[in-house]
Amino acid sequence: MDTSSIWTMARKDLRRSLRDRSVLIFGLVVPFALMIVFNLLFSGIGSSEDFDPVAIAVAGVEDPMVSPLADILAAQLPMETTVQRLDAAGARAAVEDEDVDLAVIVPDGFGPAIQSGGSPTIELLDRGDGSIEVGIAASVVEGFVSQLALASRTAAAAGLAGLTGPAIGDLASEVAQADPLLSAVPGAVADEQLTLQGSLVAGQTALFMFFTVGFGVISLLEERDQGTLPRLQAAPIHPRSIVVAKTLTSFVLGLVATAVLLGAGSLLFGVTFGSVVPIAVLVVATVAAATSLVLVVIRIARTAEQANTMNSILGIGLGVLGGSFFPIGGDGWLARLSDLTPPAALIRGLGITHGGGGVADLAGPLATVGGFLGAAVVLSLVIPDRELQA
Amino acid sequence: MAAVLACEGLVRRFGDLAAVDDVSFTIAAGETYGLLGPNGAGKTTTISMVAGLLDPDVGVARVLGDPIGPAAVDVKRHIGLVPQELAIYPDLTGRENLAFFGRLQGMRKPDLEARVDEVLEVIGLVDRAGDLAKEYSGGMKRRLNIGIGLLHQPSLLVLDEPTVGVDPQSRNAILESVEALSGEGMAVLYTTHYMEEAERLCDRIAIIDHGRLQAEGTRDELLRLTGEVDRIDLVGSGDLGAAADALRGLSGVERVAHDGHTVTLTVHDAPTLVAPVVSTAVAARMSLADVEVSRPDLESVFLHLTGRALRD
Repeated sequence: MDTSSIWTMARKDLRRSLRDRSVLIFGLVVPFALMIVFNLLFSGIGSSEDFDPVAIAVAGVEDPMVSPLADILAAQLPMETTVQRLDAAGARAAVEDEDVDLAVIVPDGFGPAIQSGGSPTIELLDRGDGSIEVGIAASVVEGFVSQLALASRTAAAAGLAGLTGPAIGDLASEVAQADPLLSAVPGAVADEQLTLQGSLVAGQTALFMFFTVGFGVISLLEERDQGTLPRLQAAPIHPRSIVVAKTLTSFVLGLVATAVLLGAGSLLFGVTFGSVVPIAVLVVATVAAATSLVLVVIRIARTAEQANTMNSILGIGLGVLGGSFFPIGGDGWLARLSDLTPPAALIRGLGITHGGGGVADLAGPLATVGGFLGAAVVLSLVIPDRELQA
Repeated sequence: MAAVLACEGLVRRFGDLAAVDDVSFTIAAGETYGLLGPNGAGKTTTISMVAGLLDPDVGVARVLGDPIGPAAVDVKRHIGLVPQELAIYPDLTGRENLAFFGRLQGMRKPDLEARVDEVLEVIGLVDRAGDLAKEYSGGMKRRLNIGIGLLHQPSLLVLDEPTVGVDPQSRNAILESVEALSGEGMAVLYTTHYMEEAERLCDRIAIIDHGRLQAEGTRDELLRLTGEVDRIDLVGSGDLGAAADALRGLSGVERVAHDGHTVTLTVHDAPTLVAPVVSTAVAARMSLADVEVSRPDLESVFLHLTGRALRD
């Protein structure tokens, strides 16, 4: 095949695409608009501003061993918290009257009981509405109690070891107030997980890739509809050159649109996707897979209009399935199917590059798009070329 | 003179339909050859095989001695095709359209630019060369369509009904261009269903119907086939079928055909037959609006050969 003729035809199609406003609209304007809209809609999810204020009554915290509890509750909870110091009866009444959400009642003699290795009980009363705020406060109290339980066990062990009198109490107090020997560091989100904004940019880019690549290959049917295909077929070029040129056009349009969407999206939303080389490899492979789908579409459709409709339906379907809008979680067959789509591969791959992954780490996503591309190319060769015969 | 195009027994079927059935003809350099026939006669299928868009089921078309077909890339360089439909890109300028197809023909700057300027001059679009083709009038688009076909100076120019839907002024310009091309030594294959175009342009004419060549020759050779008969056209309304049946019984009437508003007769010695023809038609309840008597032409030849009018 004559590469010069192929490039001549592709250049002509690219020039026509630049003059076609729908390419600009569906390739860049609409995806950016959706990114902005979704960002406005979802950017509040997960912020601490979503917690309701919580009111807590504490009783019996005058004991030195439990006195830090009121301060911990007042200062360390993620929501706005009010702590009232009441006696045990007042605390119970406050919960029953729904004046507070949670009552923490420390029994009399709590401290001495701990120091002697006993098992006193702290009573937690809530309004029973199962709110997440009360659950968080109760967890903090339980964490504090765990430390005291350790002190109680220490005192009991000291008694068994033969210690007596004030020595046991001092030891228990020291354990109760000491920093824990083992601690869990609060977990950070996995490196390979895109941020909300990163997911929006990647998802919309993956979705609209199908629209953009359609503008190239589907113009083959437009050539036939508008009468220019016979003239191309009569030119001194290999018959396959025409399809190759259209495919090249689709590929270039897809690459440019994807690069612009990822680049501008990164700047617009302040997200990063990692190193350029693995991203480029991933994008090239995914655009090739999206282009191969259009090769199947033009075998089936009878007109350019039909092809555009089919391409849009397939693009949106694969985009939704691939998680362009929301990730499909779980272990069911839908989630497995989702993993096989190019959009899912692109989003997953960008997550890997975002976490610092290189080309070698992209083996999974690349295998997915490679398999998709191979299947689509085989299909496009198997389906009879009935409509493009002169 | 050696043939630029030689078609030998071309056959092309679509299912059970033989769109082209055993068609053979040759065209020499500088000769304009017309394929005259109604819509659906097989003209466009013949042209598709000649231009290398279709392979014939049987037979072969040769251009400058080499077989032409979809895979005959080098042979296609000798052919310029002007399809019946407008084969131009509306969102490219006239100059860009010409330059694109020129590059596909292997032309490169600076020769390409010079040739584009020449063709723009020939087709009268110099002043509008920078405008998008979608802003052109119908006639201008037709002229650009032809200009693309002759840009690379092919040995054989194939024009498929190039004047369909063209205003009279542009049509005349197109016909003058084609006349000039054959004068420059180009072989031209011209299909039309307009009899007057074939008579004006073509050195030889083939009459094609139902995929078969019915006759071939110069205009005078074809006219002789009719036996020098005259033609009478009766234009009017009423039961034209009954009128045609009645007219067939008249002495001196050779053939009768009719369409929606016209009954056409080929007759010997029209002047003496006009009166009985008119009275017979009126008696058959045809309401006459016009009666036209003409000497033999290609329309008469077609009627003589096929038993129906060219416009059917």
